Amino acid sequence: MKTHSEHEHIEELIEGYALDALEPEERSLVDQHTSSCSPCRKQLRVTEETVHMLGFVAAPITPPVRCKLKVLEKIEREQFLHTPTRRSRTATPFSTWATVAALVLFMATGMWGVSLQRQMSRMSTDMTRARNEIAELEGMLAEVQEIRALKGEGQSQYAVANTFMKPGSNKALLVIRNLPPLSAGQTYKVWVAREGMEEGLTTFNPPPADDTIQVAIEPREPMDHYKWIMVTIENTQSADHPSQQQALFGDL
Amino acid sequence: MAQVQQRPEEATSDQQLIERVARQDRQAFEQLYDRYAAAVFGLALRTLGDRQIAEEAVQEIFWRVWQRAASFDRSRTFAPWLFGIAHNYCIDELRRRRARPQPVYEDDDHPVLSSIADTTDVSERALQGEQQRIVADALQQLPNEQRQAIELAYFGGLTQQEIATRLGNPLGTIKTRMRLGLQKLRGILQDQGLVD
Repeated sequence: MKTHSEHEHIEELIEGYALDALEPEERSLVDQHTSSCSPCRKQLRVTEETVHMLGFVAAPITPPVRCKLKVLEKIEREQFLHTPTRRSRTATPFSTWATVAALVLFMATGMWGVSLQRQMSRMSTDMTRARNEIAELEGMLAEVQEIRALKGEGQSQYAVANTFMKPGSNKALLVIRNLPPLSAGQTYKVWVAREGMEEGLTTFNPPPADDTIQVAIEPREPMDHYKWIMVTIENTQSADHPSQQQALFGDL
Repeated sequence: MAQVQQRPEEATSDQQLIERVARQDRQAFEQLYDRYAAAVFGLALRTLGDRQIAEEAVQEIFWRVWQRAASFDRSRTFAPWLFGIAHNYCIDELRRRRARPQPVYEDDDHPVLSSIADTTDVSERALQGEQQRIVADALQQLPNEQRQAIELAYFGGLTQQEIATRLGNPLGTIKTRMRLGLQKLRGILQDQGLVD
């Protein structure tokens, strides 16, 4: 049971505590007391609320845009690294789901007995490739040293993306969100470029109702040999030059 | 005393946004950032006194908001919670760097509430502007010595002992000034409906 004098002593310290202006030993006293004294804990809460309103006194000043971008990049990276189900959704050319779908089709048409062995073997190979690619991506992420932001343009103005890369390496990962779906026959294509040259990389289409997609890219040269990275909308996957329809653009 | 014109949809919106942030909604986070980044940067700049360090503070403070959103007590209002995180970070940083901002009360030529040019779009933060005015007015209503003690602690990161030493007053006097000042401040803010 708390004594009257102890309450009085703590009450004298509460304002200093709320302002973070106590010496460590006084602070410790308040911590100990309020951990088991509800009235003092309540008193401390309302005092802290008053103190925190002092935050309004400083004149607001708009911080540079880079502050926001850096926080969002940090969040995006953290979410990406800690969301295993998302991490596996890479826009690599092969699809495990396609293999499963093919198997279902074979079974439905009665051909499964003939092809099952071959199909199972192919699926096993695909699964091994998938595991290897995911392991490779995770290894690459562990080595990420640089993040480059891309900004959405035109009809993709709300899209944002980051390139996770390591200088000296030609492997990188593009994490994109809010990219709008395309019309039939169109595809997104990733490009890296510098003065006088453009190199087309992977093509992809964002899955419906999935706001984030990861695209692994592997240009011929290390990423830091290029000056720009962009995502364009193309009518053919084999386009040699980027179209004028840029969806995302960023410096490297 | 007239109460501040509350805009319920705005206040509710803060609560809704932080609840969405707790569910990892980045768009909601961006909205909260846009709404409060200027206030947090202003606080960080005034406390830390260095633009570069204040920028880093804004990033870290909002990162903490993202990380701690799930622990936000829905019975409380968002702004004091945010400013609590911001102030704790700034004071810790201030003490860690063993740096002190320009003293607020070095001479009478510097007004207590000296402000830095505001480049924010006030129309987008009308409610915040109103709250800022009320809190600043409330602080101005305190006797000088009480306001001085509170500001040296809040913005200067000084302990009561350090304030007593700096001002050449007994420690007990500083404690009393701080206590009476905060009690009066709370009373004014209660009248204005800004705190419970």
